[in-house]
Amino acid sequence: MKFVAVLAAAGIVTGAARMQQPQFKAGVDVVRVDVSVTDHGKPVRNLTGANFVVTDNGTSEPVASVTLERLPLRVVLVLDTSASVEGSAMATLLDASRGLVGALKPTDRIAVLAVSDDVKLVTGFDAARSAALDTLARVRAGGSTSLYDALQVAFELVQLDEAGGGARPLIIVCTDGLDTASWLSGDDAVQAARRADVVVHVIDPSGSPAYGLAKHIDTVAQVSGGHTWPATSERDLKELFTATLTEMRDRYLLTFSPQTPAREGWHDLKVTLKNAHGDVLARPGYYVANNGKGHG
Amino acid sequence: MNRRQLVGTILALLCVSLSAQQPAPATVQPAVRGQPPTFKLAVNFIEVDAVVTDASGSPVRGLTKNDFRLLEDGKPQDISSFSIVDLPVDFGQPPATKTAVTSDVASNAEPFEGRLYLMVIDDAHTQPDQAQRLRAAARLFVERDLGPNDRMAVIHDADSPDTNQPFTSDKPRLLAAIDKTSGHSLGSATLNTMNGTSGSGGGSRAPEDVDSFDAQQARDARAAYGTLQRVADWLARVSNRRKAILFISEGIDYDIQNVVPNPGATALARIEPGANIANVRSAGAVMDAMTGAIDAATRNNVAIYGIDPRGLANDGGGMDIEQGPHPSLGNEDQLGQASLRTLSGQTGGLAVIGRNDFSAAYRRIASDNSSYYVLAYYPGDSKRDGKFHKIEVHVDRPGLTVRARRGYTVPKRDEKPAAVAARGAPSDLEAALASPIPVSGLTMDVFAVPFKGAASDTSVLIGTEFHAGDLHLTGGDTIQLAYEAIDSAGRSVVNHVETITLPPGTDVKARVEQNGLRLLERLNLPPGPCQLRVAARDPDGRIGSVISELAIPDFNKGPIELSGVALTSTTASRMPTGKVDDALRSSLPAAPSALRVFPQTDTIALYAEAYASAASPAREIEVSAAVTDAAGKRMLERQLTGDAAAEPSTHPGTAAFGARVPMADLSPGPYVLTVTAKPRADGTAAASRQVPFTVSALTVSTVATSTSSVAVGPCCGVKGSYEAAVRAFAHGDRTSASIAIVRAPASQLQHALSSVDARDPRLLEAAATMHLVLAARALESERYDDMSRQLTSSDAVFQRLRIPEEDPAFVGNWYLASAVMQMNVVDVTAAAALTERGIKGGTAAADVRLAQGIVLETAVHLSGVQSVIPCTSCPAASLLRSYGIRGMFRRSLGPEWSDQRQRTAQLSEAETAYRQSLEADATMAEARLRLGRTLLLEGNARDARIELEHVVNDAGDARLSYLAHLFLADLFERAKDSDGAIREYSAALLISPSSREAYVGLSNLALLAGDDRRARDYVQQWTRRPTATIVDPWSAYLRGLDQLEPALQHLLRIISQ
Repeated sequence: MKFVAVLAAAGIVTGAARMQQPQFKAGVDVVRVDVSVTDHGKPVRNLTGANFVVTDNGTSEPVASVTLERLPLRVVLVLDTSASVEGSAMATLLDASRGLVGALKPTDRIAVLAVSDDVKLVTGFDAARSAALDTLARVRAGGSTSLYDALQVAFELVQLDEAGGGARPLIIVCTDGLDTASWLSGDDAVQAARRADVVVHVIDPSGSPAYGLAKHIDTVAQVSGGHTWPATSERDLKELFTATLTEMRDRYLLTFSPQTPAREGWHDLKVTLKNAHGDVLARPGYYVANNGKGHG
Repeated sequence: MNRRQLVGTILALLCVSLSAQQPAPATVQPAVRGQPPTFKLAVNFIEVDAVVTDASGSPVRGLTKNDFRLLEDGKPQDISSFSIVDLPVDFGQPPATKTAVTSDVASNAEPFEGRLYLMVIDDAHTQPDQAQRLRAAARLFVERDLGPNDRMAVIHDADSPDTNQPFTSDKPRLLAAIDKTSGHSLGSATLNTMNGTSGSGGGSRAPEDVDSFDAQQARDARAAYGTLQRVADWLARVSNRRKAILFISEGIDYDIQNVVPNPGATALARIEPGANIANVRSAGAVMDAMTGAIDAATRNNVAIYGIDPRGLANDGGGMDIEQGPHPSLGNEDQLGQASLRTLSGQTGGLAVIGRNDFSAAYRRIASDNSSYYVLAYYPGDSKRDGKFHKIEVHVDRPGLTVRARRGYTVPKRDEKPAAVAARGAPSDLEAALASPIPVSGLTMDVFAVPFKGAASDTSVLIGTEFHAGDLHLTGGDTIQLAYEAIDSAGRSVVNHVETITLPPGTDVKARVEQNGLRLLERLNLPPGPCQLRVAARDPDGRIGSVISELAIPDFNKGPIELSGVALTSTTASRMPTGKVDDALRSSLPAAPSALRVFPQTDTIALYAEAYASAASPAREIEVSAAVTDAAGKRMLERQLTGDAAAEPSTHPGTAAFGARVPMADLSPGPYVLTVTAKPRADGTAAASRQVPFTVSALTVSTVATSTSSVAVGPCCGVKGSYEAAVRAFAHGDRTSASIAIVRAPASQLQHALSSVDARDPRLLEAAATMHLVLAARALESERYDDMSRQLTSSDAVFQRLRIPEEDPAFVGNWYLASAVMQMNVVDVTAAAALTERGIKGGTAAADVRLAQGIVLETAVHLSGVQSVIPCTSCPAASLLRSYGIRGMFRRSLGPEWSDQRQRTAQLSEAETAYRQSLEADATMAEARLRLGRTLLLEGNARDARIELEHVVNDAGDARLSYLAHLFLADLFERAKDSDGAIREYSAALLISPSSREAYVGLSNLALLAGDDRRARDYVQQWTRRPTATIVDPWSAYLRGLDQLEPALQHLLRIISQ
């Protein structure tokens, strides 16, 4: 049952294929990678399968499909509402969040987690967007930050959201990165990020260089194929929130079928371009669960 | 009978400011949530709430938007908004405490999270002999199925408006309104026709009155439908939630099918205003009224639950059994029941008919209104065609039943909403004032204190408080406050809007943002029950409203009467008062406040007036105040002192009383303050008032707050503080000296310090205390350098004192307080040195050692932070704040902190401190728990396990056992024993099901084991966990400074009481 595990770990869309494009044949061992290609910050379009080279643990794999699909998104917005965003910072953050909700398309969905002493599910995927905004307005800043715990919850929320189907999952974390109260460690968060097939973008409203503890959250973004965006101004913050959505919509969806049965554990992935020019951002690997007990 | 007047009154009761018009659906105002809706025309946005039940009638949860199909006129619609409402149905029984005193402060701090019911009692269709039954049926719902957060109104469909009750959560008031049901049905048309007389309410009628009886019956029917229509229209202002009308009626048995003219109908039709059928019975008009009611309910998304209170006793329509049934009687019953079925079925409600056991049906109603889905869609084109549009809601899962409204009717395009034309759209402030539920958004606390007024009216002092940080000012701002008082008859006795302009200036802005704002107002209200509504709009345009149920006393009644109790406290005095009350200015040290939670360092000042009559002159009245705890145990008692200016010339016969009640001797928890007035001669209490309040545990910030609240000093009568303090210390009266110092302005203290004679040891203590107080104030205002300087001076002076032998506990706590302040700037070295000295001089070794351990353990937690950060706004500063540390890094924190050896040394010192604490007092469970965790961090799993299991076995404290289980889980995880870890996490979950760590710990373990499904299950459980607003034990544990506070309390009582 190896391939089931691969499907599970790499977030293959067999389950979702019934409802949503792209279609995959059942029983095919498929790995899916979201790839961002930019040239000086601008998305590069018009690439085809012939332009991508994918290696799995060093072995070159033929690319099965490349789509620049405008699939709907499902976003988990993780807001750090600890004492570090008290006062006007909180107002800015809420403003930016409203901008994000406003920039969603009708088919996109959003869930919001607020992180302070405790992690709170502000709104689930099924709540009305107006409700999300209402509840956001009531969020108050204060307390410590349980960021890693919140990430664990966010990854699982994405998996739980079966109705999300083929929609591309995206986690946007707005935090200064200092975790002060999580039960889980930063390493746990990185592990969870490697196992989940979800792009994580981190927006740092402080815009300041990371202090010691913050390095884990950078790693989380990096292993998920996302990146950290420091905001240097309030306006910047607002723009970054919506920029993460655009970035996600401009991503290529690459699929390939590993030629040899995937073995357990971490697989290094490398995506490069041929006959094309641009910066490639993709998750650096995927994880195959160790005992085949995956989600179905 | 004047129906027009009745209808006006019903509306007045619900919403006085809009009483004369029918609210227009096109101008629906968002009354529930603070956020204004984005849609302009209500009809463009159709909201449907759907109750989904399984075969057993239980609500089905967890459906998603994709499970629903919504059709309008057979065409599928896109659901543009989807939300789930899931409120708990089992409220349990309220705790039966002796001191269940309702709070005298109303607030909108918690958003309305309850159900909204409107009970319409159809008196006109209830026979007097059935009234008892109706009352019982209606009472049952209020008693059993109305939750503490639910709001309900009772409307009688009769022309006695003072029997109605506006929306409230107050069960006794609702029950009282229900009890006023009299029942005055005309009885059975058939019986009347048979006998030529009415068997009931209408009294005997001459045979020639038969026709007028029919018209009367038609009028009653139309009135009942009219009431339903109007209340349903009125409920339009509440959106995004289910709204239910409980229509308690035997059914409207008017036969709308029977259009055969009755002899004599003509005469009556002429005198029936608005009757448009001249020669036939009023069937058409009644039919129109019914359609109108259903249209209004469906248009406004209101579900009607028709409840027939007669239950199963339907053999004779409530008539005497001996009279025997008549074929047509059954028909009337059927007509009545059919009307209930139609109303309920068409509006998505349920008809409760032919049941003797109402409890199951009521539970069903409560559950309908607790778990449902709110779907909304935009119909394709803006239809204002005046037609009925059918709505169908389907869930594509077998065995499920969906109940939702069946459709809606849109007013025609050319039908102008009358209200808008007549008056203009109601302002958002008016809408908030009229809202049946408190509007959250702008948080407000409102209190009301009744005093004797000029004439028969009562002069009620109303105070509105806005929380610190909630008002955003820009300078020269205005705040609008709208007051409305509605008497028991539903009349608006007061309705006015006040605009308060705050003086410009950054000083005002800063004070308001830091301490909130209080606005006072006097209203003259007639005695009797009264609902007070206060709505406010802040400079940002945010709106809030609060509804308070008052019982306005009549002070002219008894021989001795007592006014309400006005309260303030040292803490409350920090809040600036934007509009003051002149009458109370000289009676209380600060403006009366809505604050009902006081720290132990606080002192309440209270004021009350006693009103005498000729029989008991004012000078013969004695007033006392007593504080009782939750169990009713008397904690302290104070005789209130009459002021010299007690008997104001304006109110002869009035005696003014005041007292101060210190909180220092009360342990944290709920209390009731009872103020009693009685004649001096005889001991029987004549009048009393009760105010519930809570004493909160001390925190570092409340200490700083109380020590820095100098503003109250002068008005509390403490003048020339520092001289008094020096004198008091010289006489060894440490307590009064400390009070004087704590209340003295900083400039006075500094002046005093410069003139202290350093050779007099008794004055040295005054100096040391002054330095400590100045340090606390510096900490409060974030002047950390100054704080450190004052602490150093305080310490230097203190060491020259000879107190150690005299009062070791005092010394121990003194050093502890200093150490905690040093910890606020993370000066671990200084803090450790201070605790060390405290241990040498004091007896509170267990506490102090524990504190020392916590200081070191917190330092270890912080050891990941790398550099000295000289700013207060950077992320590292926020990290410190989350540990309860408000200052910035000072000396001891530098790169060496990440040094492993340093960490090991600090852990080992912490271990020693905890062990010493336990040696001094083996029952210090906090020390044992922390010892266990420290050992774990040191890698000594064996000993850690022994200590933690000891805590689990011993601790009576849920917080400690929870944390011990959590740490044991950590221990097993480190030892790669997943089963052990799962066991401990599960045990932790049982103790604290709303805390996060155990869920994420379990989820993470499952994920690492590759069991993604289990990982998800735990997170799913997490999303459904009880969301208590308690502080999470784990983050509180990390905030080590919080834990030091109990150990500080002795000292705080001495220096700030």
